[in-house]
Amino acid sequence: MKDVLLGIFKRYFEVRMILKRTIVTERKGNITINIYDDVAPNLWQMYEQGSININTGLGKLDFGKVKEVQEEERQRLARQAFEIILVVLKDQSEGTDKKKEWDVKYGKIAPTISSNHIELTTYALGASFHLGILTPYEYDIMEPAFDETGKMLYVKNLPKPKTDEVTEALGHIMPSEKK
Amino acid sequence: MRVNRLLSPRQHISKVKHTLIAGLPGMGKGMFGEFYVSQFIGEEKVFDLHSESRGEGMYYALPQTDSGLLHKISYLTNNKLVRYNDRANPKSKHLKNEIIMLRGKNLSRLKKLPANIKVCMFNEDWVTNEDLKNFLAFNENQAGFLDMIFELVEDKHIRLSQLYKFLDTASKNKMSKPARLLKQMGAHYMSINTIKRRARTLLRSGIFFNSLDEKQEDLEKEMFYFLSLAESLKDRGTITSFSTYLIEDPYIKFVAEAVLLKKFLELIETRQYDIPITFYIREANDFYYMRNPPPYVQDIQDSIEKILRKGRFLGGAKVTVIMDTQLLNDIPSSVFGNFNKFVCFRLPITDSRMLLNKATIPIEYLYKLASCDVGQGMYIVNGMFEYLALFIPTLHQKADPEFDVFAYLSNVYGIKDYIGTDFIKGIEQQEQSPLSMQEILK
Repeated sequence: MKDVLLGIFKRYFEVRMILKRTIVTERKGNITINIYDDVAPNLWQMYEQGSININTGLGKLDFGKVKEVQEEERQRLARQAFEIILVVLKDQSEGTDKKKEWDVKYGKIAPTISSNHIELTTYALGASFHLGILTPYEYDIMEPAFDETGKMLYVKNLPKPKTDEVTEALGHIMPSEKK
Repeated sequence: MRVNRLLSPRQHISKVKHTLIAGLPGMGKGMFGEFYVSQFIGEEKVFDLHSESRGEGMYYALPQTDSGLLHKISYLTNNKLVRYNDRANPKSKHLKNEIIMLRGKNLSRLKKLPANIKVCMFNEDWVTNEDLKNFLAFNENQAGFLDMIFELVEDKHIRLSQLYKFLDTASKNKMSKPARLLKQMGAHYMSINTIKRRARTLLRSGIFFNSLDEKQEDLEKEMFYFLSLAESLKDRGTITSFSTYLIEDPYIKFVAEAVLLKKFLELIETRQYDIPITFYIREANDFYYMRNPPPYVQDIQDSIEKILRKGRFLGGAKVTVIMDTQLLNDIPSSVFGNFNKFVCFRLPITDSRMLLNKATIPIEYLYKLASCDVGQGMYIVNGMFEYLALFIPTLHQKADPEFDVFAYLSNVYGIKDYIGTDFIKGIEQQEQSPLSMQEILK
């Protein structure tokens, strides 16, 4: 469940107007990869109706429409997270009502499925922290090990997750293992 | 960096708690050992034995002040353990430590010691006739000679000083009763003199209170104490360190340690206490390096094996041994076999192969272990291994050439002066007045 929720939240926060444009060029056998910032309507070639120049194929970028599409995507993701968290809250309520407990901690009226995505995400994210599915803290870089009586023995370095921009931006383009 | 609360820590569960720490000098054995052992304080009674093999490097439990080390501890434990004088983190505080130094001739050179150090000695009554045999007789002839004396007293307990007086009288006056008795039994003068000399060395060393010659004054003034393990056992929150630093002669050091371990075993086996005990034995290789160890060293080896073989319990008390050694091959396989947990720092490949008896380790890892840096190593438990483990250094000060622990402790606790004691006067008299030629020829 941790991975599913993490994926949804990650995708939710990645819905951005400024995106990465990757240009791969090959000259004399040398591959050059350039990554630039670009706006979403330009990447997706979304232009305002009637503004397209027949000769160039370009037109006035339709920010309004892109925003609409993105809002819909955000709403869809937020609903998914919200629905999942409601199920988890119900499932974890053995003995104590976890939903009630989290609602009190949340401090506001709990959103419904038709609420705005910001409210839904705030609620679902907070609940996942409350339930301990996700953590608001940074990830540990060391994994501790203890003996049978709880005495600390040693720590092991955890493998570093691949989160650098280039890897993310290139995705499947990276020919790292195809040699 | 904060701790991710979702990450469940690894726990290695072992039925047998005895741990062996191995590694070449300077690789972090002591640093880790002290860190690990200090976690037992409070829950179990910790005894730190044989810690003086590197001078005065005992576990003084003073908070660490080295900023480099503190930074490393902080990095390794995600700020969980750290900070000198940090009130929120009790782990770094000064732990209570009872320092017991066994009395010896070196006291005449030091004379002034920090007031919190207790200079202790053994009571002659603790040494049985069989012990005397182990300490004084190194071959069958000599053992037979001592048996003969015990036969004369019908196996009644004979004290070390009484034995010495008996032999002294016999050797000085051939018409005396002891001399006649010994002659009757067929004793040889050579044996009399050898045993007598050894008994005198033991008596003069100071580890025993000489009930015949020594004055009670030093005891009354509380300059010296009789060792009381029962009293030390009472306080679980205090680590008790034993040191033979004041003892000059390696022979006497071993005898002192043999008596100490024997007293421990006696105390535990007779079920007088049920407090869990942890023994931290450093540099165990010192007990095993001799090819033909004399009986007093064998005595120590037997005591250690006895504790190890009993597994988790001895008498009514839980017992844990945490032992460190430089090489695994230094200790015999019977001792090695009794351990289930191994903390290994850098070890040569020829030595670390012994670990293959305990776990299936691909040989590449053993090659890597041979080139590990300080504080890095391998942990082996229940037939599995973990590599690369980063071991955490102690939160307390460790012996260092730049850190004069006696000066530090003297500033905190004050100084106790032993100059006026009867014991020191006795040693000075023996050492400062060499015999003149006339006296020798008299």
